[in-house]
Amino acid sequence: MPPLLRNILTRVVALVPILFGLSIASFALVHVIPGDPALVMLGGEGTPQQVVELRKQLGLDRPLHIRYLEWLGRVVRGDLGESLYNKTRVVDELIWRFPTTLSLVCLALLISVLIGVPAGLLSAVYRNSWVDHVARLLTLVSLSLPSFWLGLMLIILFSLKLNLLPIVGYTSVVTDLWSGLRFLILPSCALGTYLTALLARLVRSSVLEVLGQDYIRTARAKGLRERVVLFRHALRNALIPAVTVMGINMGILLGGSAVIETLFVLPGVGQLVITALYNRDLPVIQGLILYISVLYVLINLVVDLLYTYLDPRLRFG
Amino acid sequence: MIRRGWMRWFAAGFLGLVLLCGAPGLAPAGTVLKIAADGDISDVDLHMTTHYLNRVVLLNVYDMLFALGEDMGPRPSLVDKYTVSPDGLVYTLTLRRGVKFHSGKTLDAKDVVYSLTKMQAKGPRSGQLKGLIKSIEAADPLTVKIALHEVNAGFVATLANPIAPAVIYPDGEAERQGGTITKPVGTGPFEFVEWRKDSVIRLKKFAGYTVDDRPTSGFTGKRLALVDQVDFIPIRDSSVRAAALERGDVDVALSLTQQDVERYKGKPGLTVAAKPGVSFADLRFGFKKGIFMNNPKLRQAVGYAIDKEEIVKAVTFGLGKPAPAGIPIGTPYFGSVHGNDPYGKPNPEKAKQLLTEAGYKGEEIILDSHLQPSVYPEIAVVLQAQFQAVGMNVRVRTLESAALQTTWDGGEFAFFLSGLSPRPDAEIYYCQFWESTSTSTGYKNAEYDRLCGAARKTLKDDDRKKVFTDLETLLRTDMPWVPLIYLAQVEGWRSNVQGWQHWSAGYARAWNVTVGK
Repeated sequence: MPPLLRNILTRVVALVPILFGLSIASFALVHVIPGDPALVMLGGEGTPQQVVELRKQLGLDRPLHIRYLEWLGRVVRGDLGESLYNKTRVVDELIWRFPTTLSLVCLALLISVLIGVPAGLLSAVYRNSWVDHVARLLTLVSLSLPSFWLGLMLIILFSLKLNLLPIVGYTSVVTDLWSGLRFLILPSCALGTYLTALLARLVRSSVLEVLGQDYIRTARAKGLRERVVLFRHALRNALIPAVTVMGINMGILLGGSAVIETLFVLPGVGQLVITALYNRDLPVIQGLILYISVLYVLINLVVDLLYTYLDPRLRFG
Repeated sequence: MIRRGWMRWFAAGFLGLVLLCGAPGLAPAGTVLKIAADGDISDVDLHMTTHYLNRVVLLNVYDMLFALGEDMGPRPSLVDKYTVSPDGLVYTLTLRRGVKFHSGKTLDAKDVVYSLTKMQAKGPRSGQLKGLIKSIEAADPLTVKIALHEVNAGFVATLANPIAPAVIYPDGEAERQGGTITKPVGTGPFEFVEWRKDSVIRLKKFAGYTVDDRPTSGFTGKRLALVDQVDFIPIRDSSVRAAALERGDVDVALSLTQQDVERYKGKPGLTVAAKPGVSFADLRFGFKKGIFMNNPKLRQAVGYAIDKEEIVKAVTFGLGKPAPAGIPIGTPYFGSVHGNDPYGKPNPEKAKQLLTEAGYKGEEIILDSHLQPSVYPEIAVVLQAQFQAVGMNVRVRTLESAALQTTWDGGEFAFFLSGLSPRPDAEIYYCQFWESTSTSTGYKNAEYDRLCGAARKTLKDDDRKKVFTDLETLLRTDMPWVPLIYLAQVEGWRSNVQGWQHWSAGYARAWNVTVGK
């Protein structure tokens, strides 16, 4: 078996105990936080007898370990259960919402890479010049801006003042690419600003570190052009920490960029997280935790594979 | 080459995933009324839910036997006329002839029997309706006879109660849909098209709608679908709702803020208006635990410490108003006693004196409040300052809805800031939470119970007025709860929208509304 494939399989197998541990912890946690779904469903209008009846109907009256084992049995068969409220299957809900979140996150990541990497590189190359000072100031400001505030400012500027982009609505980029992008540009910018700044800072510090290495001096001594030194030798090595951080952030964002999705009325995973938590919709919360966990492990796997592309010394086997 | 190859495959797969997983877009057709609501619905079976937004949207789709009129009193809706037997125990309802469901079926008495029996079997109001209704019978296709266990003057109001409303489904509809209503079928002017979660709830004009020719009032009377389509768009953030209205992305925005009234004053093409709502905030004392449970003087001290006018100014920017009594101003049983609020002006000296007499020694008291809507934590903070001014040591604890519900239901609070939405009868305001059979507050007072019982058994209006005056008097002396302020109901609509009726009850009525260019 090729080393790469063996590594992937090992990681996937290692996922099983991780998910098992996570499922126990999350199941217990969800049930100890205050808030009873039966009470939420009755909205304060139910009698104690009705609460007991509803808890029984929802199966909440049975011991926790029995409920856990039943849930686990269903999950193994690929069934994450259904919402306590509208009876939709959790899997369907995730499948339906994932594309929106994925489109949003991909566009935000694209923006951050397209701006953050060149900004970090320029900042490092022209260290302590006005370019560096401006870039550092902008990254500092961008890191300090709360995304909901930035989102509101973007709405005011681009939707209300300049009348360029819509505020609400959502069209898939598949159905209509331009229309879909029009709905995603502002939320992606609001989401991507922090990542851009983070990436620019990381790239700057990494490139500065790499530029001080012996092999860079050797490359320059060999008479290589500065562009080759920078892009082939410095930047490529400097990208490893950036890839790690972007991978982690992508995992977080795919788990639901709740604030931005809520602000821009995007029907993604983030809004589902908020609704499920407010309603104490236990099967949905459990399903979301599982989804986020799997996503995290898979993204880490992809990040590891990217390392091998960026740094041949890390190649398997 | 191999190394670069897998990278390309990965990139292509990633892009493909994004493209393949697309969801369909929105495609408007005909005249469309777009209404921005402050959240999404959670369920389409109104028998099973008390969630406010569900009924804001779906009472455009479903009808009830009786419903709230403009004045919050119950009026016939699907009922043409009704009689009550001399002993007050049997209600004979005659249904309007020829009313069609969205499925094409004609409404008959069996549908009413089915819907009320369904409500008795399951849902938030099953206990209430089981305790009230002895039998429901379809006497003929248009006549329903409902026998009560005992006389209840508020029965018609109970049927008109919009909280988990008694909407009428076709006979056997839930079973046809697999046991749960997932596609609403009603008799209203608009029929349900689709619910795209967190995106849109789409309704369309019901071509087979049977118009009720009685005068339009509240949810009742002549209601015409004048637009082809209604889209309710859930926009949780009020600033975004206002911006969407300003830009014209929506035609109407519900639940705007008081600041928006000032911000959009004089803005061409836009109306943002506030009405003092009929919902009011109130402060409830806990009688299961805490410092107030056996101490009426301490509760009265709280009443005298509160400055309702100050709360109105600070929180509603003067657009709300103080709530003088446990029932709203202008409702049928609101009399001179109700209007003369002894706690209308703050009396800090009296509050301090009562605190001393009550033996209060500066113990910390926790004031529980809703986190959303934001007006509640704002009121809580103003109250905290007012209590501190008379020497009370109060800490505010805001809880999100699920945790707050647990606190309320278990009676685990000293005092609790909440609110009462419109109810169709005074008895529901006074007795729902404070009669001893209600367990949340733990309040037990034999005289209060007797008056609640009398409110249900007394049929004559004048006698009921006396009962509700006595209840108000008792409320002010024993003080299980304190009515605080009416919250302002702020809505905005664009000038191309004609016929929009801003209702202090806060419901969005899409009928009798046109949308121009």
